[in-house]
Amino acid sequence: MANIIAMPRVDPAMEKGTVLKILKKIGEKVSKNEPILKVMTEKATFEVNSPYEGYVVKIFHNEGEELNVGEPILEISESPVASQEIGVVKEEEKEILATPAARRLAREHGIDLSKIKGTGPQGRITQEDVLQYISQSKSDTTELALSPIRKIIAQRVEKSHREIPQLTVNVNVVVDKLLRHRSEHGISFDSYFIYCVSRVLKDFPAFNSEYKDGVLIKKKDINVAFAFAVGEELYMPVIRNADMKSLEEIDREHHDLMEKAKNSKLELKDLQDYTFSITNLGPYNVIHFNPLIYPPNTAILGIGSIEYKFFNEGNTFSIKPTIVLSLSFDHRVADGMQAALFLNKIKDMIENGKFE
Amino acid sequence: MESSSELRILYEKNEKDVFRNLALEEAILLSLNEGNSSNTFRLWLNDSSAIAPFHESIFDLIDVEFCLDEGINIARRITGGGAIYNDCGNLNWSFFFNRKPFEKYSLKDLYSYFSSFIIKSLTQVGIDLNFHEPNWLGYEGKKVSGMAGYLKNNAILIHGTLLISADLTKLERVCKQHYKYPPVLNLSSIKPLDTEKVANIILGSIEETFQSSFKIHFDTSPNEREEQLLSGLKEKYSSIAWVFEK
Repeated sequence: MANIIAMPRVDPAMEKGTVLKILKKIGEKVSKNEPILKVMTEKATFEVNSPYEGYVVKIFHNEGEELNVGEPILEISESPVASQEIGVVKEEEKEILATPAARRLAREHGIDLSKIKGTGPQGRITQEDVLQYISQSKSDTTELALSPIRKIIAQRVEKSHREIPQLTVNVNVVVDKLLRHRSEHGISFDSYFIYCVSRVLKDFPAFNSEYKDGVLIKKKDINVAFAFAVGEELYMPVIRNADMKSLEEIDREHHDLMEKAKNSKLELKDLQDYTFSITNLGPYNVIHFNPLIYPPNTAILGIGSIEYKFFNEGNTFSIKPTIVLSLSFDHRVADGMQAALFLNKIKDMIENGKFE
Repeated sequence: MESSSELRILYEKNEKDVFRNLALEEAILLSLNEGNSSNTFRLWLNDSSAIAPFHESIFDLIDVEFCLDEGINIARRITGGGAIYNDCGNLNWSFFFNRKPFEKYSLKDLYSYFSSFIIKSLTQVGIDLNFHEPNWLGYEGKKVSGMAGYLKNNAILIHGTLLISADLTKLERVCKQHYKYPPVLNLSSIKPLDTEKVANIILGSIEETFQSSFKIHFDTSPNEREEQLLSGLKEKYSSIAWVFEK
């Protein structure tokens, strides 16, 4: 026997409710009184328990849909349907994930949500996906909604470009000692620069600051963010108080943060309170570039790829690995001379293997 | 098993981590639902934070760029409603109660009932607040408190804000849709009050009101089961997926 779970009236004044979450999938077993739905009215969120024991065999409406009280949401059957049947039901009632705002907008424009590709988690359709679909249908171009992280980066770099008068200076650095140390100790390339930068920043507080309303706010802590891409997402995890940590400690933390990013385990605290950033395009064969300052910082260090160059030392020619370091800085708070001195201090540490 | 005839009053005045504090709201609700916590009244403060409801896109409700510029945390709570701005000039209050005695109550009644204790507390300092449907408290038509709720099988959570000396300029910048709601007001613009003073008034009033029907005990930290649940929930509340990917 099949039983229907409909939008309940959880409040005498309730006429409609939104299905926030369906806690069981088609084919899953449900116990009597087990939470099966989360429903929201304009006033509160409710968990709805199943009055029946059995198996979910049909889902009539999807998460995010606003329904009248009494409209069916789920069908529970006493016996599980055959797997083939489940497949058919699943196909027919293919779940469309969408936010409430997206559903509202789609309804208003008479748009079939199944025609829209969602960019939210698990392919959830967002309001912006619907807006893009609408504008796309009016033109022959394809527009893609930005992911939440990409959207934040877009806002940050736009702000940087719009508000910060920035200048980039470059310096060549020989990295033979770094590479030797690296092969002996198995430390990541970025970690050396986080280490060196954190030491040098103490002498250049203007680059470990925030510029706001005509005032330079010097930061007490030295928290270095490093850019790290996972698929199409760019993260800037932060190594806090890097100046208090050894190269090995920095490297361990760097490794842990990269693992967290790869496994989608980064927490917001891992991305906050950065006071300086570094970005490394070396692995992508970029010789040098002008990195854009990541607000609210006043500077960012770019690392280019390794190039082998000829050196004439006395009468001896040698070939050494080099990279270009590029410092973009806020010209309101410092001049080219300070930037050059900053880079030369890092150069000195790297070229002379000052890693302890 | 905790007794439903007890009322715990929980106030951790130095715990201002919004992610941890929101996770604790869920932990207490779960623990009460399991029968491992008693009815609870909680007061809590957050550092500067924008808090979105469970179901909506952060970008639709909150000025993310402004928050990043100002170092304002961006978080998401378990309940619905609108986006809110918290700082230490705002006192959050929560009632976690066994659901059974309230089964016949409408939602309006629940909001009205639980917020009546906040209203009663403030009459002691000569501030007469009014309950407005569906779920806010006002002073002469201006909003000083907004509420939201979550109903589980055996447990109810009704929680709300209380503006005392919050940065209202930031509030209006952070909450993109503030214009849809009534104008807001700090209690400190009515009487010379600060958060600590209001917290003490409310704590005293709650104790006095409930002591005839409940065995009251004060706590400054969660119980063992709540701590256990909290340790699992903290990561969720501070994860990018929970906060941003809705």
